[in-house]
Amino acid sequence: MNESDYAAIQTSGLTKYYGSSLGVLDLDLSVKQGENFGFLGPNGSGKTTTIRIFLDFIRASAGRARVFGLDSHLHSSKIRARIGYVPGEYGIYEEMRGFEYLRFFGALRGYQKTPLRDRLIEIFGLDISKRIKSYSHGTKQKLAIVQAFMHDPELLILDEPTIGLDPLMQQRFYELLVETKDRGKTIFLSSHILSEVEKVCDRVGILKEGKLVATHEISEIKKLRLKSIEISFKQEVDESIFRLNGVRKVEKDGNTIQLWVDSNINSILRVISEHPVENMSFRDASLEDIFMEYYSE
Amino acid sequence: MRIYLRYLKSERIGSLLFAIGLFGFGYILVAMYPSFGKLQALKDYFEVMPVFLKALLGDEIIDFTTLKGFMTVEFFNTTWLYIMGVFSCLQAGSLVAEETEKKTLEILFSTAVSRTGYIISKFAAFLTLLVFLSIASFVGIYLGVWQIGEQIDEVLFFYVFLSGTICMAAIGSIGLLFSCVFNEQRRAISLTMIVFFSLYIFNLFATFLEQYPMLKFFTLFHYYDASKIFKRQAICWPDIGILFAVFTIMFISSIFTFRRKDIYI
Repeated sequence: MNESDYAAIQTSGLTKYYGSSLGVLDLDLSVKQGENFGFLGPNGSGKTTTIRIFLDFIRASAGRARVFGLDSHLHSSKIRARIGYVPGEYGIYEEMRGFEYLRFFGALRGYQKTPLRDRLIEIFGLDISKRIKSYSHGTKQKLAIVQAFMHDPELLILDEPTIGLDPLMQQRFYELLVETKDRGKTIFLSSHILSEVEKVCDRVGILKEGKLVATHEISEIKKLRLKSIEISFKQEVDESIFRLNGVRKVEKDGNTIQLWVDSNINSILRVISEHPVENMSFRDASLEDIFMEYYSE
Repeated sequence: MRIYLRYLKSERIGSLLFAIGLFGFGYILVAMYPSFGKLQALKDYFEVMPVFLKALLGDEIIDFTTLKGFMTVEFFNTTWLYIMGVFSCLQAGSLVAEETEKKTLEILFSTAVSRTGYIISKFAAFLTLLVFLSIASFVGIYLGVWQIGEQIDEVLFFYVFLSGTICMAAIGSIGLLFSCVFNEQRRAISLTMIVFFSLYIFNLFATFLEQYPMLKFFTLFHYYDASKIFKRQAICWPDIGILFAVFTIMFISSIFTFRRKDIYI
């Protein structure tokens, strides 16, 4: 089997317990090479645990993880040589200056000068002449991003990478992700910010209490054309009148009704028009709506 | 190599201060020796010294009024041992635990650095600092001896430093093991200090408890004794072998422990 035939990341029955508490359970996941995969879940759902198993920081209680077809524990160094990683929580050698830090990590990766360093510094407007201890949280985050991308790795594992970045830098980061994907690199983006996953990923996996509850193609979600309609009536109405074809979900809060619909809009509008309306908003359903559906159960 | 150099760079100021302290202390002690060596009262005091205090000064008593005896009592078996011991506990206890606690390992181990390579690099840097401190101490003594116009047997002094440095490496390897086991730097350092001083105190008791002659063999400091080397005019290779064995076992245990450890739970 050719190396390019292997999935970038593959897990089977991956389970991790910390004593008696669960990290992840029976995780089966496959991320293709060149794919942007979003890994969604709230804090404590097992996202970071999964990533740490990929990088061999922690060892699985059962099951296995393979990266580029190699066992994540047995071939850890070989795998890590091909990875760039932005951790969710980390420390930086504060006594160093920015350029020393990048030179140090470049050298550990076998480079005298990493190919993308200067461009990334320019994109993020990073001043590498200062000591890291004088950096703000956001600047440290930029430095962590630069060190992860600067050697142009085949796989980027990003754990909540935009925390601490201002909106402008977040936008630049998303553009960088799109550009990186266009160069054929694989991105594994763990996040609880749904809009960023929606913006840059091809596919998303939703993790709940350590279990993978669903995977969706982002294009499929968009194809569903699911709409969200929020109507504030002047008087309370019975939600059962909206049990119509095409209505996927109805939620009531006082005089306000929220509908998720995928077709049959005209019939729904007819029902609405039979009651006095105070306000009405209409928007495309987001990944967040889908995500909340899993988490409201 | 990068990790080795980075560690040396980050520890340069603290180590330099320790080195200056040991250099200065060694030099001043030797410079003071002519005045002390002539004191008959000091010799008399040594004769009547309680047995446990004599134990503090070494297993095999040598003449306190000679330079070797004076340096054994005032430097090699006491001050040098304490300073180097504290240095070893502080450094070795924080070798891994400091980075675990500060979470700098998270990015470091996203590169191809292996856990074994990391431990070897850091401990090699620690050993380099130990050798640097021993050399600084030796140079201080040598300069003092030159100043007072005395003669010393450089080879015997070298043996004492060799033996002491290996003993400190063994203490350091115990600290390294704690540093690999615990995620908190303070806990690793404290436990290494407790082991260091416990072994030292145990050695004192074991030396003068004549009814239990075997006890002294269970403490690390029995195998580092400047008085023994000066008295016998030779290095005691079996002692070096035992210190080296302890160092090796602890070092290998540290590597195994760290390789198996879950980092960042």
